[in-house]
This record gives sequence, C-alpha cells and structure tokens, in this order.
Amino acid sequence: MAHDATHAHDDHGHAQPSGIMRWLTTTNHKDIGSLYMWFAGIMFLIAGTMALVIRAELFQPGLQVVDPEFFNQMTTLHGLIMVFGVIMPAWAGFANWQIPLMIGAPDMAFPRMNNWGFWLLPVAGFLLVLTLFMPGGGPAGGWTMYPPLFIQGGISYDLTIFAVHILGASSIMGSINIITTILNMRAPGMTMMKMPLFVWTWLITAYLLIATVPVLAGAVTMLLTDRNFDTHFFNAAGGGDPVMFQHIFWFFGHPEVYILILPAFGVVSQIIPTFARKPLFGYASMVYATASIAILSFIVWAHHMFTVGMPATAQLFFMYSTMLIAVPTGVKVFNWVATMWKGSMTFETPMLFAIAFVCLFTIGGFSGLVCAMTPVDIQIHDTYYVVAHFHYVLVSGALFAIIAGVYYWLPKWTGHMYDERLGKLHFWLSVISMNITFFPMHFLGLAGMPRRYADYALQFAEFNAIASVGAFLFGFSQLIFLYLIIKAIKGGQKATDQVWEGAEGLEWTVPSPAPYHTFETAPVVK
Amino acid sequence: MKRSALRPLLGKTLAALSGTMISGVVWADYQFNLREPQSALARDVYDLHTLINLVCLGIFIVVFGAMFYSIWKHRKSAGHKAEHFHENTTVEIIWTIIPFFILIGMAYPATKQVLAMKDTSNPDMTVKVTGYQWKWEYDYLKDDVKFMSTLSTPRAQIQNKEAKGEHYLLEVDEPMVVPVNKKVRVLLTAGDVIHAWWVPELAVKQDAIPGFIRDAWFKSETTGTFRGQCTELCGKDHAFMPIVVKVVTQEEYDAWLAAKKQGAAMAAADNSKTFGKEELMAKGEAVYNANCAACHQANGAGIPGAFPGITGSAIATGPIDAHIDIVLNGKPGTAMAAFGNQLSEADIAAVVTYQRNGLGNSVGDVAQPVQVAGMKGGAEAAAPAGN
Amino acid sequence: MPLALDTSPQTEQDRFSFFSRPNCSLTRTERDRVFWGIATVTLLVASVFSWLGYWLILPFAGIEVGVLAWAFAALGSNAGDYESIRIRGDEILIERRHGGHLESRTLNGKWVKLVLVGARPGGKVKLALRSCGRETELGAYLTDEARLELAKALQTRINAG
Repeated sequence: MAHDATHAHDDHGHAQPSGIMRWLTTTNHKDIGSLYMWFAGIMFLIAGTMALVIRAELFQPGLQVVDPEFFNQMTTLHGLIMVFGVIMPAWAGFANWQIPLMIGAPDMAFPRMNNWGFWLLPVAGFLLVLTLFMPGGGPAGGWTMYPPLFIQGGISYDLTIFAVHILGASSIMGSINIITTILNMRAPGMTMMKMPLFVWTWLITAYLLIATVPVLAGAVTMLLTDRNFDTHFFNAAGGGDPVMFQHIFWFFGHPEVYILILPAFGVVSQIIPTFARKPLFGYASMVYATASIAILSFIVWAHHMFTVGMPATAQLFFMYSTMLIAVPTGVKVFNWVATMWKGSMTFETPMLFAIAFVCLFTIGGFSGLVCAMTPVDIQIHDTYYVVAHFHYVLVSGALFAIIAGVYYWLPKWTGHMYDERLGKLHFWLSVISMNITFFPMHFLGLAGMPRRYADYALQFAEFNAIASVGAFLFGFSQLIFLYLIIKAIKGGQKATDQVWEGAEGLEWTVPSPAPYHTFETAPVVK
Repeated sequence: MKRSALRPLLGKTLAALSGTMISGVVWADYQFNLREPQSALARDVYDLHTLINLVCLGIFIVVFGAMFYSIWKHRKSAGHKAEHFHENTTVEIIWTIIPFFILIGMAYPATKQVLAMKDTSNPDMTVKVTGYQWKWEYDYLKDDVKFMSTLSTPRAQIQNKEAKGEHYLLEVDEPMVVPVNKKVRVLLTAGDVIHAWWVPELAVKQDAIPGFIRDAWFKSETTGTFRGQCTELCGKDHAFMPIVVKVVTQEEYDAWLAAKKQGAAMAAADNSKTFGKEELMAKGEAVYNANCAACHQANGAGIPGAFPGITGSAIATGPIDAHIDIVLNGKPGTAMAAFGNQLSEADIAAVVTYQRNGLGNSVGDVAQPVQVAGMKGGAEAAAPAGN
Repeated sequence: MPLALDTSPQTEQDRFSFFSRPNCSLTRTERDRVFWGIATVTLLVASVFSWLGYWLILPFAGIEVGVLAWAFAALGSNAGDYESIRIRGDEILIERRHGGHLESRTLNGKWVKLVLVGARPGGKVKLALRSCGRETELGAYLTDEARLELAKALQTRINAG
C-alpha cells in the first residue's frame, strides 16, 4: 500500500508548526472544519448557560435570580450567540469537513481565506461575551436590535454592533469559499444534479448569505452612526423611520432563518436514505423545493412585523407569500417519509435524531403556518407562542440536525465509532426534555404571556415551571453529547471506511479517519 | 363519570410534576388556548385559529401515521427488504397541489379578517394612547381628559416580600374606561421607544411607534375588565406596564367622564398655586415613586453603570433651573425621558423639590409650579425663533 | 479511487511524459454568469435601499462584490494551470503554468537528483528534481500516493538515461 511507503520517510519531515501555531495557521479544510465545530460547541455551552439563567428566573413569578436589566441582557446575548455563534459556525464546520469530501475536491478553493474566515469568529465571540463586563452590562435591546431602544444603551451596544460586523465578514468569506469550491472543484462526472443534497443546500445557503449579509452590515452601521454621529436614519425626531430598521433587519433576517435551517434539510436528506437503505425519493424535487424556499425567503420578511401597522394590502401580500412557503416545505417532509416507506430501516442515533427532526420540525412548521395567518399572528405576535415556534424549528430543527450530522460523520472524522448506548440515551433525554421545555410555551403564548418578560402574571406559573424543569434537563443532557465526542476522539471501536451499511457518496470511499489530504487527484464519478 | 374525573386528576398530576406547590398564592387553571373572546372580531380570530389547528392536526395524523407505520413495518430487524423505487411525478404533483388548495381555503377567512381589522372608519369614539417607558397615557381627544396609567402592583410583591395578589402585574392605578358596544378607535404612538398595546380578549394589538401614529379598533360586546400587557421589548421594565381596559355601560361611562373632567380642573388649578415645602415633598415622593424609582431606585441610589443616582448628584444638588430643565426636556440618547408633556407643572415642581430635599439630599430650595411653567413656556417660545 | 498516472509517451520523441492540472469544473462562461447573477442581486438590493435613503448598505455590498470579483478572477487565472514533465533523450523538460505565469526549466538528465521527502504529520510528501543547486518541486496537483507513484516512475527513467 502506498500508505506504508509514505511512513518510511517520516523522519525527514520539515519543521511544521505545532501546538497552537498549527491551528492558528492551518489552511486544511479538515482542521478548519474541526475548529468551527469546537467553537460552536464552546459558544453553545455559553449561550446555553444564559438560557438556563433565563429559565431559572422564570421558574416562578416574581424576581428571584436576576434583575430585569440583566434578564434582558441574557435574552439578547442568548439569541445573538445561538444564531451567529453556534448554529451558523456549526454549519460552516460541516461545510468545511464535508463539502470537499463529498464532491471529490482536495480542499476549499481559498484555503488562506478559509483560515481568516474562521479566526474572525473567536474575536467576535469574545467581544460579545466581553460586553457583559462593560459599564452598564451587555446589550439588552433584544437580538433584533430594534431602535430606538438600541440607541439608548452604553458602550456595550457599540461593541455588539462591531461584533456583528466581524461575524458578517466571516460569513462572507466562508460563503464565497463554499460557492467557489462547490462550483469549481467538483470531480469530473460530479454534475450539479449528482451532488449530494447537503452540498446543494449549502450552495443555496451561501448564496442567501452573500445576498443578505451586506444588508445586515449596513443596518447595524446605520444604528452605529445614529448612536454616535448624529445621523437620523431611524430617529423619527430627525426625519428618520424606526420601522424602516425592522424592514431592513428582517430583509436580512428572514433569509437568515433559512440559512440556519437549509443545511439541516441537507443533512437529514443524507441520513434518512442511508438508514432506510433506499435512495432519496425525489432528489430533483428536493433541490427545486430548496431553491423555492430560498427565493420565497426574500419576499416574506414583513410577516415578522404584522403589528407595526402596515396597510391591509401589504399585510395580505406578506400573509399569502408566507403561506406559500408551506408548499415546498411540505414537499420536503413528504419526500422524507416516502424515502422511509418500504425501506429497510435501522435506528442508530443519527437516524433517531433525523426522525425526531422530521416530526418536530413539522410541528414548528405548523405553528409557523398559524403565525403566518395575519389575524392570528396579531394575537400571538411577541408572545411565547412565537418563542415556542422558533425553538421548535431551531432546537428540534437546526440543532437536532447538527447533532444527527455529528453522530453520522463522527466515525469518518475520528476513525472511531461513538458509544451507541450512550448515544441513544442522549437522544431520548434530549427529545423528551426538548418537548417538556418548548411545548408548554405554545399554551403560554396563546393564554397571553408576552416574550422577553422577566416576570409574569400568576396564571402563567405552572407552564413556566414545567418549561424550566425541561430546560435544565435538556441543558445537562447535552453534556452526554460532549462526553461522547471526546470519548470517540480518544478511542473506541475502529470504524470501517464504509461506516454505515447503506451509506453512499465519495466521503465513504476514503479511509476512516479521513486522511489529512484527500482527493488531490479528483476521483471520477460515474 | 370516569371521564369527568380524569381532567382534574390530570391537572393535579401536571401541577405536582411542575413542583411549584407554593402556599399562600392563588394558582389559576391551566389555560391551553386563546383567552375567551369578548368581541365579534376576537371570536372570528379564535375560530380561525381553531380551524388552522384542526387542519394541521389532520395533516399531522396522516403524514406521521404513515411515517410511524413505516418505522414499525419497514424495519430491518423485522426482516423487511428495501425496495428501490424513487421519483414519481404523479405523486409529487399531487402532494404539491393539495397543500396549495388547503392554503387557499385558509387564506379566505383570514383575508376577510385582515380587512375587518384594518377598517377603523366611523368610530364612536377615539382615544389616543401613548406609550412611555414604562407606562401608558390615555388621551380622550374630544373630552379633554388625559391621564397616565401605571402598574399598581407593589414592588414588594415583585421582590417576593409580600404575597402576590390575584391580578399580579395585571393591575394599574387608572384603567382605560370605555362604554360597551361602541366602536373605539385607538390612536397609538410612543414618547421614547417602541411599545405595543395589546388586549387579548378584544383581539387588538398595535405597536406604538415614536414619531408615528397608527390606529386600531375594538368593540367589546360585554362589560368587564380586560387585561393585557406591553408586547414590544421596551427596556428593563417591559414586563411592568400592563394595560387594563374597563368596559362599562354608557351611563357608568358618562359618570366616570364627568368625574375625570372635574379632577382635571382641580389639577389645572394646582399649576398656578404656590405650595409649602411639606406639601411639595409629600406630593413629590408619590410622583417620584411612580415615575422615577424604576430607574433611579426608590432610595435614589440609581444602578451604577446603567442609571445615575439622584443622591448627591451634580444635577440634584446644583442650580435648580438646570434640574428642572432636565426633568422637563430629558436627556437625548439616554433612557431619561422628557417629562414636560407627561407630568403637570405641579407634579414636576413637587418631584424636583423632593429630589433636592429628600433621598439624602438637603439643598433646601423649593420649585414652584409657576417657575416650571415659566421654563416650559420659555422653551416653547424659543423653539420657533430658533427654527 | 483511480490514481493511475498516464505516463506513456505522448509523442515519438518523448521517452516519458506526464501532465496534470487542477480540477476545474466551471467554464469561463459559467463563471461569468454566476458572478453577475450574484452581483446583480446584491447590488440591486443595496441600490433600492439607497434610493429609499438608507445608503450605508451600498458600500458593504460594494466591498462584497469586490471580494467576489477577486475570488472569481483568481479562479479564472488558475483555470489554465498545469504541470508537465517530458523526458526527451537526456533532457528533462518541466513546464508549469500558475496563475497565468508560465515557468519552464530544462534539466540535463545526467546531473539531476530526485528528492523525495516523506509525509509528515500535517504535511505532504515532497517531490522535487534537483540540479545545479536548484530544486524544482513537482506534483502540486497530486495526492501523496500519486506523488510517490510519480517519483517511482521518474526514478526509473532518470536512471535509465
């Protein structure tokens, strides 16, 4: 084997950066993929702790744990970090590891830019956490940063804006890299309509990022100049319009939520055929559905603002366009179920998480449909119903897909199988506690509990207490996941190259663990 | 018999699970749905929500019935061999078209309701509602009645020093009062940041945006007290600015309005009076606790880094004119609001006096309503000249 | 996966020839189309917001489109990259094109030493030909395995010469 031949020359090695310098200077897509994943993991623990502070305060009515000012800082930073510091970097980690392996490319198209793109993230993450130690504490204006409230705060608000700029720059570099890699570095024979669905979803995600991140950067910059340089973009007293910020923010924000969920669709579309031992039912329709969702995401933004007082025609337009999204999303769910139908299914941990994803994400989709109906939304806008809705699509949606993907590819990354028994325990604890946490929030919202409340009326006490118990259970269950990953890195049962019986795709043709360099000569795809 | 016994049992089990058996507090029932609607519009919304839920439930049962059947039947451990079919254009077209028609069925009633909600024409009365951090102002435009409505739940209950009352956080000192069966148009705006005015039972929610006026309407079909809360994050006391609407009969409303007008006349008289220091201090303490204590704290210490203290501050111990000025006009770019259009001259004079001679300060001088009025008038006179 | 090298002589004079180039799945027209597709949407969105008075989005969109243009230009300039080695009698002809920059070197087969440095953790196998005190690295677009194969093939040809 050629492998052995290379080892014979080991002692002639050049001086290679080691220790921290290796990670700081690495341009290898697998190294950078791992860095993204670890960063996401660390930020998940930080933002998860913030969620537990929130749930601790809301366990009972009255103020017990924190004061309202700090509570608002927690909700703001929890949202910002979970969106920009956890879910997005985790997907970037998957993209770095998997896309070159899946399309038969030796690395990303711009390895140096890849390195910069990653190392901007810890800087931004550090700034966001640092805001908590500034005079007056962290930003407390909500992750949506609506003015004029966001204009009132202190220095930490400027730091937050700066952090968002850095995060945006990182996303842009990542997306340009991903788009060029996917388009230009496919192996011969890997036509667009042969690409694994995960690659397709990331291609569309990267496109959404490139189209919307400048809008976010511009929006927060205008906040910054309104705060510090006496401009009046969003200041009514100076002829500006605070509602316009919401339009601009959500013009970015709605595509952003699909940026968080589209790669999840991709991962689940890889996992279900593997464990059903049956090809994906409608590959082409999945690709078209993903593209339709992306296009629709540009014309639905104002459904986040049905209560700002838009004219009836605008409300109707955004209601109809939002309802339309249910069609391609339905196509996806039907496809997954049809893929399972008459397969030969086994239920390893990745498959369990993928099935939970399909089922629970659909619940989030249904509550999304309820929210899309303008008259109903006006009742439940800014209540816990919305909190329940977006946690169903982001926790049991995006996060569960991330977890499923990690279990699915961990043997390829580390060369070891994870502990299946503990993995199943992690699954059951997560899926049960997730529902205990977020299902009661639907009832809270319908009954009238507004979101971002540090304290609430007595009739909301029971469901809040239940949700808090669930949240702590969910939070601590994730430590099992961390333990499992570390265990698989350190050792365990050797994984085969194929890993899963029903797995198909180029990544399963390379050894486990995947060698440092793969596909320097492109494989030929038939 | 059995079935009826099941429900309370289930409720008790859930409550026990939640582990919140705290004595001395009245716990309400578990509420799973929207609140009982009190207007025709709210009833329509309630029914629309029920309809969508039933449709979703139906789809859920069909799709996930199939999925779980498949999970059970098409297991490898049950010896099922995978079939290799995929792509079926007919099936794919059907499952694209059917949801589309279901959506149209749902959009029809929703559209009618949107148009009804937006129709604020021909109201029986109009009330202008202004959101401030963290209170609401109600202005009965035709009747010259204007008042502030602030949370009346004592801070001690929030701090868990006292048992919480039945309407904890849902009670105000001065509720909005409207007659039953009258179309009430609400004009919404805000003085500082965005707030949102919401009364769930009447299906009315509208953001209050500084610098803009938006409208909404409601028509209650029953008398009663309906409670809502602010639903747009507006800073630290976002959870502490409830909305209470008291719907009464026309006669009761007329009587209430007459009493309010009389009260307004007395308050106006206060503005030209000269008060003694004791009077100002007593009045000032009340005004301070209702308007200032949320940020500057009841003892005047403030919250370091976020809100400056009053005790020993340069403004509260410096020249009195500058002190009155900041209370009147606020400090732009901070949470310090301009109270000139929220409080009467007498109130401002009282609170300034209280801040200078209470809360650990002892400057000794007093502010009088006339002095405040002079500064207010001066500012107004100067503004046009400046432009 | 196929890693076989085509090292058969291409012309009659060549005793040995080797040609490799990075994989490039995007043609020039496709590249232009993708770039303008993305740039148009981004700039259009930013322009609409500018027209509404919110012009600070435009500079960010401009910077982004600039970076995108640079990236696509870089792809374009690397599109013609290749590396070729031919042995003709005693002469070894090495030709490399990198980013539009052509470099060629002719070595005398008698005064050439093949340098092979094995894989290090985190590094690649290095293959080079050394002559007159100058090393020319080879096999930039190959895997470690393929580079070793190429080394073997070259070694026999050099020795034979």
